[in-house]
Amino acid sequence: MKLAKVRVLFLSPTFYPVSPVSSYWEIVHTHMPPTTFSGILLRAVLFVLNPKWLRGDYIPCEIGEGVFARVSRRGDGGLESPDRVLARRENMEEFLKQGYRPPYVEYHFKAASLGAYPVSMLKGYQPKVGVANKYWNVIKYIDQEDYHLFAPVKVGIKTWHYTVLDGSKIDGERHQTYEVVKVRHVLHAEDVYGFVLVDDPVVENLLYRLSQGWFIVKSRLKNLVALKVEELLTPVDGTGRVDYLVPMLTKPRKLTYSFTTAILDRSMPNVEGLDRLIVKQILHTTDEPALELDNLLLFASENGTIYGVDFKWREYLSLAEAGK
Amino acid sequence: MPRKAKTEEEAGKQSSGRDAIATVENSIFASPTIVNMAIYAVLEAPQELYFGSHSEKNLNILEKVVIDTEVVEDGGKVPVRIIKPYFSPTKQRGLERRAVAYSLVRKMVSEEGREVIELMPYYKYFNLSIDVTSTYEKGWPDPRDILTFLWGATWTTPAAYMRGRIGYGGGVAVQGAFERKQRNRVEYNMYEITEKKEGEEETAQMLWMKEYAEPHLLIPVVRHGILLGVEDYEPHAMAYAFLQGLILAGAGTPKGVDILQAYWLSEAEREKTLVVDVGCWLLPEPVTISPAILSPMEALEEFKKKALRHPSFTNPEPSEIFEKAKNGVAVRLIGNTAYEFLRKLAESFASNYLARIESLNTPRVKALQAGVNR
Repeated sequence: MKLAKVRVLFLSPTFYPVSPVSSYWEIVHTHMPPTTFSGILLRAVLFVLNPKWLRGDYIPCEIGEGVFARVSRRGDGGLESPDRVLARRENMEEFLKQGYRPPYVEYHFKAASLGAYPVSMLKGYQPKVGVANKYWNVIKYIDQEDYHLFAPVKVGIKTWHYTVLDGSKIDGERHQTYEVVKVRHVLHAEDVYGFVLVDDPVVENLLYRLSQGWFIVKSRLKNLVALKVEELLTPVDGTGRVDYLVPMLTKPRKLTYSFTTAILDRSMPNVEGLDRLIVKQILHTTDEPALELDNLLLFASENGTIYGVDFKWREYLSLAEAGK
Repeated sequence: MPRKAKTEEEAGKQSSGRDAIATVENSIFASPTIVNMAIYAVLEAPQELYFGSHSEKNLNILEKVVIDTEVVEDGGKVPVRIIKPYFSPTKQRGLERRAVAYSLVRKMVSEEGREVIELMPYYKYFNLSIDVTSTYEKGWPDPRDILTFLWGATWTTPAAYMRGRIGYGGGVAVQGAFERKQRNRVEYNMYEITEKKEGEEETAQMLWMKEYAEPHLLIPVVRHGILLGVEDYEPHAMAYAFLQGLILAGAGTPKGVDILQAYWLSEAEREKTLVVDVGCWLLPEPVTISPAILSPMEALEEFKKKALRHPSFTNPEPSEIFEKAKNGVAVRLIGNTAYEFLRKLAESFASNYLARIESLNTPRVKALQAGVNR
């Protein structure tokens, strides 16, 4: 098992919504959630493998696979129901058996994305970020679980979220497709590092190839992000010292784990000069307090820096096999 | 634009999702030379500029960013809040789209039995609505109606279009230089009001305040294009849009930004602060300037340091650069050489693509002429 440390450079102020519901878009992450990082990293990995595997925004990594809904018009001008929707949340397992792979690194390799964080956050401080407030005229997304939609009104647009045709009535309420929302972009004024746990020689080799230059990608929300793998760290035994700590944001849950993007909803205490007793307070580790003390995986950098990773991240790694 | 109702026979024939993806494949990968290209530039506002955020009553607000950072003062760190103008990437993209859409193309039309050349804007040639706001009036976006065929996007196959493969970044100015200024201005509906009728008083002009970014504002920007087909003139289109788009920068009047010319590479000659990377695989380190930097001198130092970290190529001939890229070399061009390269690409786009659009053999033009995806 290795820990890849990836330098992440944001080429523009960046927008990470905490929710697909547009009215919440002024609350944003100050770090890149594991899901987002996973998707971008997969693109980088596929790029060094074969650039032709890179698809458009709504088509994941393999031809004809992914979530894809089409609505077409009948001869009389009316709408037909969507002719194919490849995957749904509730029957994810079945689709995995059929060969569907969501566009996340966990589903393709034995690897788990841990997200990307500004250095001050890894040290336990609030991150140094600037903000740019913008007003967007956006398409409204609807979570399929929240609404029981009859087929013709929903149009597949993003993995689990749908928009409706303009003017459709749902539960007697008329829906407009567009809405003006306040959007907050984040500017990072310090270095940002992403981490990924890998236990697969194939992906290790690909990550090594990625360390030869910079991969630049446009995120789904039109922000330019550059990635470079800086180092593949090897595990070390506990020495009682941790220089940086990768925060644990969510508890792993089988199949849905890579779709969760919780916010870091509390102020992390200062963990500089880290002592395990303080470290355990800021980790979402286990329900058994007695087990918390030893729940860190430690990785040493070439320059001697020690990175602490929550033990639970390893569970993500074992779950990653589910997608193989 | 409403979609045409299909007959049942046509509906039966319409392509499936897999066919659509195959079309994407053919479209993107038909070109034998595929490159990635990145443009890093520091733009300079030669006069005051306005990029709108929103309007309050009689006050137009400039789009800005707020950065909380620290400065060293008297040996200690002091927290400061910096407010800087922001030329957002979405605005940059919008004006490049217009730069391409309003370009003239040459079309042969039949007039009184003989063929004559007619010049028309690119968007008219492809019969597209340039008014994005009216695109969705029927609630169903027609993929052909949003933008141009080259610069367009659809919901399902955006990668087939350049817009899906070009990203825009940067835009946070180096200095925090903006001022609120007073202007006389006529309200948009004032023409009706000022039609004087007997017994009515003439309406006066209103005082108006507007925030402007100040001249010599430096704005670092980034463009990044992925999987661009050289034989389809895609890097050329990207260069053309970038250079042509500079003229349109800024909302209202005045308009236009330049690429900064400075003594950043040598003391003898002013060179464009521009870096262009071309490569098939991974590119060298992006040449970006941190938004936390406040001083133009420091920003240029940072730009130079990052630009020179990778060896540069001094021949701006596009054919040689694309040949090198094809052989796996990541080529970096700096300063006036980079500008010369972009200019050659843009000229080639104008003379070989826009002027000869009907005779082009690119898959996109062929598909358009065959009426595919319309």
